Amino acid sequence: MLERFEEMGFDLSRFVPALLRPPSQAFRINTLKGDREQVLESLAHLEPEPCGWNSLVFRVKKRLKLGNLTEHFLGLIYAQDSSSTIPVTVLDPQPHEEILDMSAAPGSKSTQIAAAMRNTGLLVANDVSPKRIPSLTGNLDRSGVLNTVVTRLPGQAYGYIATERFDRVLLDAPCSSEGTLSRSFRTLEIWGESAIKRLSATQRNLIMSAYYSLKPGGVMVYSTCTFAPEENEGTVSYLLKKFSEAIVEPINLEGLNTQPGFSRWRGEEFNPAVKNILRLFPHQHDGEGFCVARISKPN
Amino acid sequence: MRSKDLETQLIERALSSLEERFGISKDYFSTHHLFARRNDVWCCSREAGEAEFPQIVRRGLRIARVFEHSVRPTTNAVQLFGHLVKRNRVDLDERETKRFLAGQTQDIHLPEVEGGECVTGVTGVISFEKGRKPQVVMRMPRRGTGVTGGFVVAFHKGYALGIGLLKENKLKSQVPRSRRVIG
Repeated sequence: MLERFEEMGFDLSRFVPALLRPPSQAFRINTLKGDREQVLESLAHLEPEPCGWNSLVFRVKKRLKLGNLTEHFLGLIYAQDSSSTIPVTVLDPQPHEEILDMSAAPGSKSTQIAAAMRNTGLLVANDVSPKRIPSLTGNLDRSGVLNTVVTRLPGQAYGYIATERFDRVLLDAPCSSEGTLSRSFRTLEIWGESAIKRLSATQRNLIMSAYYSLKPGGVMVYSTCTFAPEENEGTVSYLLKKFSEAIVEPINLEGLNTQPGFSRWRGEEFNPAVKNILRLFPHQHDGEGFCVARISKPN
Repeated sequence: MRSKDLETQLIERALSSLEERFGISKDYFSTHHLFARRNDVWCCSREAGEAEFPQIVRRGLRIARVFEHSVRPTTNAVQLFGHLVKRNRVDLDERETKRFLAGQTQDIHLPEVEGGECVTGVTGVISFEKGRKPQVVMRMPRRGTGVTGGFVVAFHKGYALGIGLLKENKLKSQVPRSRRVIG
């Protein structure tokens, strides 16, 4: 793993300690249940610090279990890493739309989408794993989400069963999770070059399905919590090869120290448009490593 | 499979109960899609109610469970619709809230009153003198709204916590095991 990081051009003396250090805890205010100002007032003792890119996301420097707070029980807040709030912020869901969250469990992004949609329209929260469905439904319940249909299908199916149906699609793809090492070393048990190859093949199928299920004029967000270029720029480049009309849009978010996507990796040249991919590294940003691409389908 | 008539009856019973016991107007749900599964009534957006996909696990939120002699709203539902509750509200203090979230049964010294506003529960100052049992030296009444025995909505700082079963001045928390906060 370290060799790959070095190949990516990271200064390991800064990158590795930051990767292993847990980032500040963060929470998102759930506007389906509470008013921003009132919730902030009741959580003033935590001294929450706003994250610039989303007025509902706050970091907390104090070490405590956010899940034990009454505000968490009430569903007024959702404890999630600050980086993981970015894909939905970039997706920018609107009320009364039809939106697909293709790999939804455990529901942090689905609940964020539902809140942005103000519980209107249709949100399809899909996950293929039966084991992960209870955590998804539990979080939807706690957050007071009404506009959701939960399905248990392989994401690859949506391209066929819901062709050109959705206004927006979120594909937070299953990945090698290199960016979440500070949370758990479980990643190391499955990590390897072969795992990256296998995951990248799955991601290519999923991104194609997501694009097929998108209406003309629709927007999709592809995100992972890994650094591997095969799983990020490689996957997006693959989509652009199949659909040359797809547009990778630039992402501008306030208060984020980001890097552009890699232009090449191990001899492979990626489509130049992948420079618009947003990359977050833990030594430059107080959050987990993440990679986000906003892709639109022209009319 | 349950016939449409039975389903309509079940939904009607749940909505009538929410209106009669808690003052939640049936009109509130007119913009939503309601349906019943077994003895549970569910609520979702119109679009979510009409959507057809293979392998649907569920739609929306379960709002009530209909029993033979009563209707119990779910914790998730009252947390969402709590601001609409006009009757059978019980305000809990910090300590009582902790017990309620832990799923405990507690004595809240609540006189049962038919309709109207009534004093609910007591908080106060307790003196701890050496050699004597702790004694309440000052009582401060709190207020609840239109409380009668049966299912009530517990509140803390204006937020609906969930459903409690009030019987003989004892409030039994109905917070599901999976949602309890202990410690």
